[in-house]
Amino acid sequence: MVWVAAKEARIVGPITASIPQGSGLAVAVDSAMLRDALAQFGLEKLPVTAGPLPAIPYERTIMWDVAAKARVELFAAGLSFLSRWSMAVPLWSYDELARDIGSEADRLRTEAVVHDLRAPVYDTRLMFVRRNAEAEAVMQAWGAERDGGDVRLAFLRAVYKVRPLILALPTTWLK
Amino acid sequence: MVLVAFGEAARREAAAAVQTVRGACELPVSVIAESRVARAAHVVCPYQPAVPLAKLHLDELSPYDPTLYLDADTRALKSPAPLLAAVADGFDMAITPSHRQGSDVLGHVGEDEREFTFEELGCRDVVNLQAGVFAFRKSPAMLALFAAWRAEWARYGVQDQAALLRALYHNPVRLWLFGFPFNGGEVVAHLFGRARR
Repeated sequence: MVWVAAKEARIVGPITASIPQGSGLAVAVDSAMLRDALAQFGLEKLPVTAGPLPAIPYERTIMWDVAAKARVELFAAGLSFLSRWSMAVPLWSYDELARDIGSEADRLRTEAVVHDLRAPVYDTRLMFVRRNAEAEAVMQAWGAERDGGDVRLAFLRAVYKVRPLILALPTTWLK
Repeated sequence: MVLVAFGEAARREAAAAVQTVRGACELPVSVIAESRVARAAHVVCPYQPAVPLAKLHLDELSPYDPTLYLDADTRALKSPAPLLAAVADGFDMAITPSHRQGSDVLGHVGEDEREFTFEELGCRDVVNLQAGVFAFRKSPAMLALFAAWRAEWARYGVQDQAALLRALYHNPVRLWLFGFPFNGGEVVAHLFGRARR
């Protein structure tokens, strides 16, 4: 506070966004713990659909594997990105690239599609998805690519094939 | 491939960069500069200040489509052509994240512009992109992004990196990310800041 008083520092407030209309959460299994986590950040009215993933039940859908700890306080921002982007998905790592994960066969299959494995992969445990043709095409392609291999490499292949408007989010969106 | 070199240090660095590019790949090379740099075609920049406006007008000044842009203080250790391949396959732009992430996002940008950028994006947790190495094609979406990049840069007139994030937020393009090997790693080394010394 001394620094603030001396105008050598200033307090940076939180950046808040509201939940856009038509937004909702898609999870594999609903639970009281999930509802508590949403309520903690004022999202108790966010519609929730439980069922097989991937799915895009809402105009703006958060797909969340609740086994992964996500920063719920960022959900509103993630949904707001969908005003312009079809998808927003965190990166898995800046250092661990496609060449570093999956089986050799999986990597070869991925290289045949994306040509170069020195690329970051997405962390598909949390995805913000607009319900539109290209996002649905990505989900369809991802489904076709998922055959027991690494889901992140499968998603990367799907993204390369469809080329959606996908915004990479930082690794910090998942704890 | 296009580089930008204004000032003695930048010319020296660009000449060294071109030499490495010549050894790493067979791409044609142009340098936007005051005068010709050895082993590269010369492109004149009609804009002032030429740095960074030459880079922000690459959509107009580059003789190539698609174009691979490298900062003058980079060195091609291996062929950077995969960046172009992603663009040739239909992505509008191929770029790498910056090494500055997390609490260091836009850490080199002035506080006012940094906070303005976070407000514009609605969030502080964003991926910082490093605009010292990237490939693009002259698609309508990319031309819109360049126009927005110039407009966003003009707000503060200092760094181009935060301006790129703001421009991209408002003008999405089909973006393919490469890893650090392509900017500051085993494919393209980046001797940050040497072109300004």
